[in-house]
Amino acid sequence: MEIASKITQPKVQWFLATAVGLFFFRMLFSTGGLFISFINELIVLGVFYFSLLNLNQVLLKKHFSAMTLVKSLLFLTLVSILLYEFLDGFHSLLGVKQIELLSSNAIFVSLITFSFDLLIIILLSYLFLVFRLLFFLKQRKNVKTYFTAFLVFLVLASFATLLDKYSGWDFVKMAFTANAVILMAINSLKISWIAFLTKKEKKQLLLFSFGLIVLFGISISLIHSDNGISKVLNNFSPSLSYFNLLLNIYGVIYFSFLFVTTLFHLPTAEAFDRKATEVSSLQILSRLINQVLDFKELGDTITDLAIKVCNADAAWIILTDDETKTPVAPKNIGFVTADKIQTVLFSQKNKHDNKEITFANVTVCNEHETKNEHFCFAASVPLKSHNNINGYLFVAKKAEVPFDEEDRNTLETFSDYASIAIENAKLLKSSIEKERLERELDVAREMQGKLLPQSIPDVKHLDISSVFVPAFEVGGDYYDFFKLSDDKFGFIIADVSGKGISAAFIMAELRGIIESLVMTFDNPKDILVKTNEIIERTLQKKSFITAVFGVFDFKNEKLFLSRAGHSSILFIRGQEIKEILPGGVGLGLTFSGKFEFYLEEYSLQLKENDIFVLYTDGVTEAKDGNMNDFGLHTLKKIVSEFQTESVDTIAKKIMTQVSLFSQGTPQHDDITLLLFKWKNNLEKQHG
Amino acid sequence: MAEFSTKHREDGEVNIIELNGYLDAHTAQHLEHAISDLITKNKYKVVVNFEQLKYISSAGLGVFMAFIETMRTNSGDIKLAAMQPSVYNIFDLLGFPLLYEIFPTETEAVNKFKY
Repeated sequence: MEIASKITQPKVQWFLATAVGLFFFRMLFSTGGLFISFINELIVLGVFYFSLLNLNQVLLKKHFSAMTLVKSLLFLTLVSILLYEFLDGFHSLLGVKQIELLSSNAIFVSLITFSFDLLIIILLSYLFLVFRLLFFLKQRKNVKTYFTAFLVFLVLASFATLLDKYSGWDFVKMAFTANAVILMAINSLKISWIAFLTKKEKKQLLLFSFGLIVLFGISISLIHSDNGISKVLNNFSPSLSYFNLLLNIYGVIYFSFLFVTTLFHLPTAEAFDRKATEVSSLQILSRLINQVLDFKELGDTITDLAIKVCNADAAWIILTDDETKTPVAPKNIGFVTADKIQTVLFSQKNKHDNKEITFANVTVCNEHETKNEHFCFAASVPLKSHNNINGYLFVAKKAEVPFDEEDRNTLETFSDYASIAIENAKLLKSSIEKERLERELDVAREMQGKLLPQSIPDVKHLDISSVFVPAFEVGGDYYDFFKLSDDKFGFIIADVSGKGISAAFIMAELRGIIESLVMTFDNPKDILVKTNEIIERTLQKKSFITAVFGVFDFKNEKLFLSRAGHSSILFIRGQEIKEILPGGVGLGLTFSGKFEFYLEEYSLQLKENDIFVLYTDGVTEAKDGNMNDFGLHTLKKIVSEFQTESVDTIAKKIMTQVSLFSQGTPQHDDITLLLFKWKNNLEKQHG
Repeated sequence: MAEFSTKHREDGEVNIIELNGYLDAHTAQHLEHAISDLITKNKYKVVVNFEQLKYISSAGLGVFMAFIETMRTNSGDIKLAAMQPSVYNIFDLLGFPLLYEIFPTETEAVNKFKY
């Protein structure tokens, strides 16, 4: 703001300075020869120029359209005509003596006259600026030369009035004037901006240009006739007076051309209007493509615009991934009618290519319909993206005129934009969904981690080692240790079917059940049977849990265990490796007595250095690049090879082999390993 | 990644579903649709042919559990047939053979419905 005022101020000062200079010059040299007149005209030109600069700055800050410019021209001519009339009145009031008064230095009168003159200069410069803006409106090619040439001849012709006093030099003024008028005519053809007006605006323009022709005509007659105004103006500056005349002539020519052109444009105005709406609709849609978060909102915009661009009365969308084919964002149409029209269009479609726009007469659908929904013609256009059809856009209209070729083209272009927008919205939705799932899995993994034992209990007679590696998708593995009594130590390993948050949730539930059951029961079979009964309430039909529950009895040096559908337990004694596999079905497979019936109770007398390896299928089903399983066989081989090592070492060896095997393939299931080594001789262990 | 497909055939009253490829958490839905389709048509006698199935995960097993009750209460059943040893092993570990009828060949399974 400050900078702007700093720039504008000197120009206002210059304008004032030249104006004051002009005033004093005129006071000093009221009459004179050619030279004085010439200086006078030069100063007038200066004032005019600075007025032009100042006004230009004001105008550039404003938003203007063709119509506002024409309206301001109307205003300007009206004001100048009023001014002339006022001046005329003022002049006759003073009588013919006025010129004498002026020359006898009556400062008051000359000051008033001078203010009028100044006002005329400002008005003229304003008029000129508006003409200039109109001329350059919507011009694509460089047409500056034409206007500059016009301006040059205008100024030259004006200055040539100085030679009026000398007869024989008339031809100079005539020649310049002729050139100026020719350029006026040429410049008056540069009116392409009317093509961009709406029909309503064109009608207005017709009226305005007629008015302007009349007004310019009146002001020409006022300036040109031999009355007071022309005398005052001629006295002040003959050049300015002539310039004024020429500018008014330009006005008449320009608006005559405009009037005729607009008249011819009027019949096509409607078509042009329609094209303009199409363009602007497409613009809105292309903007939408990048800012859609709400699918419903997008659908509404698409159907709204579809109605506009192809002169339809109703529109709706159906999406291919919706099997019910429910209309999305229907406009001016009910589901029932939409469905009928869809059926007609789809039956048509089968005859032609499925990927093409289809038109149909749908008057048949009008039976039993209210008057409100009487549609005569309908069209459907596929919403394609990458050769996939995401859905169809439907339009229907009530008028008994079918859709024409242009509607077809428009609909095609429009559907392209709409498909991109829909595709974008879909992609956005799926990426949001994906992110949500990933966060959900983070929660599930965290939950699972917290529910597993944070440390390995220190138990006499047993060396224990455990490994747990969660999969990205969370497998629902679970293991835990329980001190059942002074002599009894229990453990569980379990694997919940399925993945993700639901598996983690069931695992948490299972943990709760087991935690409470171990307070009252110490028999593996009892615990698993009760668990199966309780978990029925939580488990979905298609979910199940495999588990092994075991109890080490320190007093009797025995191991008791039951297996509910879980993988076998590896048992190493001496050089021998065995699979312990007592009968039993998975938890949740059946809630009848069959579960208890089939669940075997296994027991084993323990010996020094007996090793037990429990695992979930994440270990044996770890995959390599060719979808081969790590396998029970490999697991057994590693365990027997390192059986003399500590349980921690064995666990480490297994994990190393598993990760080597599945290098490069993502871990698809949780991995849990549980190892126990029985130590009978406590003295030896501590020694 | 994992390819899976099903084929449906009819042998009299018996509906045969052939499985092909890898049945896991992601492809299980496909099989679920195939079986629930039969239920909507009131067809409750189903034989599942595992001959071309290479792998089954716990989610795949769950599909049979989801429907077995409906079939049995409507005097039908899901009978499993022609499993490869690796697939049978998974069913066996879980105790499926104790609760479901599993046959070495499809014909045996179909005949069990007929006679």
